[in-house]
Amino acid sequence: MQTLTEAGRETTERTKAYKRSLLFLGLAVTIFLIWTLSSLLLPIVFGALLAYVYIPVVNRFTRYGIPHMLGILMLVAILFSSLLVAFLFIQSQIPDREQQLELRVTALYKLNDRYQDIMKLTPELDGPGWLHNTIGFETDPAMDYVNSFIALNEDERELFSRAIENHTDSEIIRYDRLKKYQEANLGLPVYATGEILHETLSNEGFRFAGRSAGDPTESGSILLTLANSIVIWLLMPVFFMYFLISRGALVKQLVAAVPNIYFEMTLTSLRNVDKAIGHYLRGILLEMAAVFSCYLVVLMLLGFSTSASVLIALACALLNIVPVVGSASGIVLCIFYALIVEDVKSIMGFVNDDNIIMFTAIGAILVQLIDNVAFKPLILGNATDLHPIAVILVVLGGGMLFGFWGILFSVPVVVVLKVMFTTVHQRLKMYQIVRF
Amino acid sequence: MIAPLWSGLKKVFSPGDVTDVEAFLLRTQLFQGISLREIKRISPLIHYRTYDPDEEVFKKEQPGAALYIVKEGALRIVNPGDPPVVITELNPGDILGELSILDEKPRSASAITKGPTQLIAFFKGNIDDLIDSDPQIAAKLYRNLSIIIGNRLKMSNAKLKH
Repeated sequence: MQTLTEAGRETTERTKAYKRSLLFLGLAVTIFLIWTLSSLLLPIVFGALLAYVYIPVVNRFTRYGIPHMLGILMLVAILFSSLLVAFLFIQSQIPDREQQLELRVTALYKLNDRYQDIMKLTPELDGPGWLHNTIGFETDPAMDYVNSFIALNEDERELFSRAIENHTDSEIIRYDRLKKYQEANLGLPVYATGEILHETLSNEGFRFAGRSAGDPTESGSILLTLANSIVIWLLMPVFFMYFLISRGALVKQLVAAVPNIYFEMTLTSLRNVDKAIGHYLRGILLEMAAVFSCYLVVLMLLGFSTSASVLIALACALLNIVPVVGSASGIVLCIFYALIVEDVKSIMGFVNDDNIIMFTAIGAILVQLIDNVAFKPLILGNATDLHPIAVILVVLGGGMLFGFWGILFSVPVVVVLKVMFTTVHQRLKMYQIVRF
Repeated sequence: MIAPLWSGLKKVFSPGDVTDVEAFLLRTQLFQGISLREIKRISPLIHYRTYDPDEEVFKKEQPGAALYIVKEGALRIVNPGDPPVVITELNPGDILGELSILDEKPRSASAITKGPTQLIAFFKGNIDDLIDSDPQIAAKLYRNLSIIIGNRLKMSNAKLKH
């Protein structure tokens, strides 16, 4: 009898050790997979989050007697058609090669004109102003960096000159102005060294960090990286459909594996997390739509062209997903465009080329204020708030791990994880499974 | 040529084979008046749970979140204390935790298995969703639930009179 009890105890110990080893192995494999397949993780997470947003739509179809699978196919068809229309619209609004060159020439001229004006760097004056003496050592290299991105290289300058010569008579004023800009740009200095910018850019040895134009090997790798990311992101709709189709089955399998003591707690936790995440994600989309509409109205009132207003409003609404950092970037984007825009014809008579920057800044800040005072509290509530410092850390961490998409989606993902942990923590206490 | 087409059409429009659990549910009081096709619609919501003897299904004062139907085995509904009082015993086909479907108040008693027991569980959240997705099925379930609760009340009143 004693031996049998001993044997039983040994079996229990062995079982415990076996379970612990399995758990450890499972954790190690999960961490390894997350680390090595990190580029795959974002499309999967994004597909899952998108599925959450659209589950009520599929349920609505079901209520009208449409079978579940047909409902999902209809939803996917509607979404992809909308995406295609949006893509075609954005593509039609993106300037062609010649327009891009015009934009860059104008941007380079306007930016430096304003910079020199603010810093009192114009040749007519005796010397640089106090502002330049105070912060010039910081701003000069930054301007040089921006200029190196915008300035035309030799081939582009030639192409631009040909375009100017081939203008039609009706465009003579515009092209004269562009010619004047280009001539001024050719005399632009590298602020940090005093050399002439376009001569320095022609020099093979000169390169600012991040500037790699004209290197065939590097442009090849950019194409390859782009192709890779497109292939990876093609996974997203697959996972989106998979999560929509098998959502109930996945949850059921998870719940079936849970011990009886945690059964009801698991069901209620999953339910609460489900509701909170759905509410948050749908709220984010709604907020994006509201912010987009506000920016569009403000920019069009200021006299920006329709295509520019739509593109900038879209970019600002997308950036707005990232709290604090995204909002600030939206304002900067608007101001940047106001710096280079010309011939403003606003329906508000007091807005003109001289004060457009100020009014754009005011307009963008106003939209952010409306977003923070009205949209965010009304749509999202404060249940999913993150501390501003946490937001910055999360955005930085997301950027380091997953690049651009990490910056954009790290905050929603962290909010979802926060909701999950707080809900499970609360439920564990309510069901008297743990005591604190 | 006609026969395979006919059998194919029959497959599409017939509710399909009846599983053990569906046949069992059709016989229970909670699913009176609910058709096999309707039971098949809600079968994805079913959770199967297996319990050891003397295992607690739920404790008194815990938040209630699920309704259970006894499939196999038996349970005691107990008011814990010193000594614990057995309120009633439940057998296959009986339901327990039905009040949790109606409100979110804590459980009024504990449920403990007598022997190895199998239960079929329905989560309150899923039943709430049925009101939106399948209102007809939800209405029938709530009507049956009202009848069961009404009967239990009558029985309690009768016990009190004696």
